[in-house]
Amino acid sequence: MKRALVPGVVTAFVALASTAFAQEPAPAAGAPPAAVRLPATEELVLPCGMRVFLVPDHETPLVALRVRLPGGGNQDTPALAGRAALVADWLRRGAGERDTLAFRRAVEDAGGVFDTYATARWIGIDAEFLAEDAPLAVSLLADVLLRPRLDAAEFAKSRDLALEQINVLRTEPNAALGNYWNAWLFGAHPWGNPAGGDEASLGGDPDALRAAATEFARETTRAGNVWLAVAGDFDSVALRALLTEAFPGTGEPLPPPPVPAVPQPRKGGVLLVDEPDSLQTYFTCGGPGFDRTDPDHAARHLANTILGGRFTSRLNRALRTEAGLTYGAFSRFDDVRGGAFWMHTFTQRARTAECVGMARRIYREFVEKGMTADELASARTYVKGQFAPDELETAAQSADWVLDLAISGLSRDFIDGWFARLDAVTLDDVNRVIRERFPREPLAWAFIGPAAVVRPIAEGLGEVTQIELSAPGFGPR
Amino acid sequence: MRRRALSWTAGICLAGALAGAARAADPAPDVHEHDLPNGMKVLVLEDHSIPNAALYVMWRVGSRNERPGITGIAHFFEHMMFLGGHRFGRTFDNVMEAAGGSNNAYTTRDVTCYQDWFPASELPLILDMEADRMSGMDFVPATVQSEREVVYSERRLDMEEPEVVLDEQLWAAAYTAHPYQWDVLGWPSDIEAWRQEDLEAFFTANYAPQNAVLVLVGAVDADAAFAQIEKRMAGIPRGPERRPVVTREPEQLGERRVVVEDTSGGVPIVMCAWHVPASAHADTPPLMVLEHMLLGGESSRLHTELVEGEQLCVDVSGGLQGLQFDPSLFVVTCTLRDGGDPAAAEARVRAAVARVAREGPTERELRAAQNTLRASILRRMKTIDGKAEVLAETEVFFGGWRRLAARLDALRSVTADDVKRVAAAYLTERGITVGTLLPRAAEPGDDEDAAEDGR
Repeated sequence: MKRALVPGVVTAFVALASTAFAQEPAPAAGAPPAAVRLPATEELVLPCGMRVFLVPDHETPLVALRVRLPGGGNQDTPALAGRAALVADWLRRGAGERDTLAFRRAVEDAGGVFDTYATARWIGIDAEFLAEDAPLAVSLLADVLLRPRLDAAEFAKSRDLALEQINVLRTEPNAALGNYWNAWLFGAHPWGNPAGGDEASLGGDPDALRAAATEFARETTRAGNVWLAVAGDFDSVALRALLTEAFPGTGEPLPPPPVPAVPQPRKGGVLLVDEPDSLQTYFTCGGPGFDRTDPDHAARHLANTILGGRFTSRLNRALRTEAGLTYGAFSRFDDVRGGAFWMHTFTQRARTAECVGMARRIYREFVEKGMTADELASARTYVKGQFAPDELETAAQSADWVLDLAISGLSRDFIDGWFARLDAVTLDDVNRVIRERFPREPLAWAFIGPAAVVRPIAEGLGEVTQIELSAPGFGPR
Repeated sequence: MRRRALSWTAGICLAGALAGAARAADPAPDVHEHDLPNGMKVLVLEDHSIPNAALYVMWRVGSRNERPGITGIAHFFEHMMFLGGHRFGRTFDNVMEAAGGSNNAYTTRDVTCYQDWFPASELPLILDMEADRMSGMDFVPATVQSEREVVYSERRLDMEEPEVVLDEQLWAAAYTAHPYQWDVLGWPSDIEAWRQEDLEAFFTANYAPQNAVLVLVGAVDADAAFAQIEKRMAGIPRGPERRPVVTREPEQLGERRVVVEDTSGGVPIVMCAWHVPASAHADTPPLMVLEHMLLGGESSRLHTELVEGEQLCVDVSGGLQGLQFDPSLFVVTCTLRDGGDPAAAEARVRAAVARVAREGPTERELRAAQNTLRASILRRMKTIDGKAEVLAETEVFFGGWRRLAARLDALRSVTADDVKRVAAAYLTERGITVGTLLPRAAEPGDDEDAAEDGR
């Protein structure tokens, strides 16, 4: 591949996409896209208290169900890290009349998909079926939310698999680094939890863990905590009737559970995870940032596009294209974790010092001098040009945004006004944001690599805490 | 290949969806097809759902067109094509991103594919850029050297993934003659050793317009878009005819085994591989059903038995290895639990295969496979990118995009006996290659690089 900037790491960090749009009618040939809007949606609350959003799109005979159960990993203490992910897996291990295998067959025999997963912000269910199977899709969803079996033996399987997956993760340093980084930056706050848990949180008293998971499963699936979007090819009237029947009872919609008091991330300090056999050194560095609700969000996005948000960004151009040090280098603001800023790359062990030095030089020059007018124009065109296919081409993509905005308490203008906000950013704005709101050194650092090589370099960056890759957990909390 | 496994299933399915959609409304999907005099095939499909377009240029060149000593050069070329055009040269990416476009590329054992995604209004510029790099390359030594390091970095990522290391050894053992025996990224010694003249010769031999298919899908006027394509591409001269890949892998005469000792602290892995026909062969549809019943999803036989039932494995995966011009492999990969017994996993896989060869699939399994294949088509059809990819794949691998409907029909008409027959014919004891990754503790002295780095 030419690029694919380290997909493992992107996944591990669960970076939130920070932009989106749905397009106007097709523009005249030769004109660039002018504006973008979320498609029209119908919103309702079922008598049971469940919120429902309908995003019809009849182009393809498929229907997608997107469910968000706010809470997620943010409700897990470090001792319970990974609980939300376990609950997500457990929910589809048997529901209603079906045991685990029967449930999976019901989905897969129809050519459907029914995935459950956890992020820091919510447990999610992403399902998609042929349009003709909408009744089946709704009944399976109702079974999972209203009648999960929560069987003890199935929980044990789920936990054992999660522990095994931690072993596998330890063989993939570029993917594992995200866990170490979050722990290093946020310590004992839930934002520092490894999404899949660790040896201690999963390996303790199984009955206590199952009790905590059961409580969380009951809590998070309450009708008032369910946010459902249905996207694709369906008849609204018939679907409303189907949902009302499948989710009976009365209740009130609940506010999303609060996130424990938001911490300031670590400023400075180096975590070195020793892997003596590693052929490469992997590292991430960064510090406090600000999130997408800030008035400087558009400027932040344009600034990061130039620093490390696209292939020709300064970081990737220097480290990859010009120096041949790496396959990829990039930077992000983590909107799931308060907009913390980080940049990431890797290089062969013998060139570690060169790579670290170059990354620092580029970052320092960026935050001291800002960007040029040409760069701003290029970033603005790029962000707008990629917006439709990346964010709003399919009904399911639009549904993801509708849910995210609603749960976050953001208005549709977050999408509909995005191009206008991008257009309003001046060179002075963007350079003020770069100079004043990107974190200054000392940055926090996390390395996975051979300590014999990395330690002397790390010592030049701050106080070093060294641990073994093979040690349980993902660093000091 | 695994870089970006081209999915046979996806290809067929998409094809089917296009064809199916067409059947409802019109005799054929509204693909505009043109053959340029230089041999390049051009397909254009209008789609105005977003104001963007996707352009695929798929070249019939992959690692199967290499030879020992220059392995990995097709993939290296994929990188160089962003750095060496006469007009745009190293500014290729800067120009494209400044116009609101992005791009990527991938290389498989069989093809190299370049993808551009851009506002439809920028079509003239994007075509200028594609025509420029088709017309010739400047190989600046400093650029070659730097990009060689990038590719090596990509290769090192693979070398740190135990499953990838085992996969590479598996193919090297299963093939003795055919160029599928080496990985797309090439052997490290070859990456270090390509010379300028190797690059020039490879470009001339392979990057000729008659080896390319160009597919454009998006918010364009098809006739106007084709006129723009013709204006820029038709003048590129037809190249010399290549020597075809003539080597046929001789029949495997008995079981082969390969072991990789792994010190990374990971878990055991077992891979079982069998030789199967090329993607366009009539036995591929029943093999797809076989793949689905063994490995497709969590209700598949091997997942149910090995991951859930006996809990011997963390994961089972694999099957057909994407789209290929020549006879390829069907691979079952078992990632074991910590301390799990590889021999037990291998025995289970072999027994499951033998049972299909004896009994075939159940009616439920056959229907589930066919439903899943149909739905996966439709899923790919939701985007302009998916449509472009399926058109390109079908054109290149199945003898023309119009074969879409026929391929889907072939899938629909697979019977239980077909599946039984292909399992018995191809997944044989005589033709199996087994790869095993065995964890072992690292010993002092393993880490030879450390001293060197320390200097």
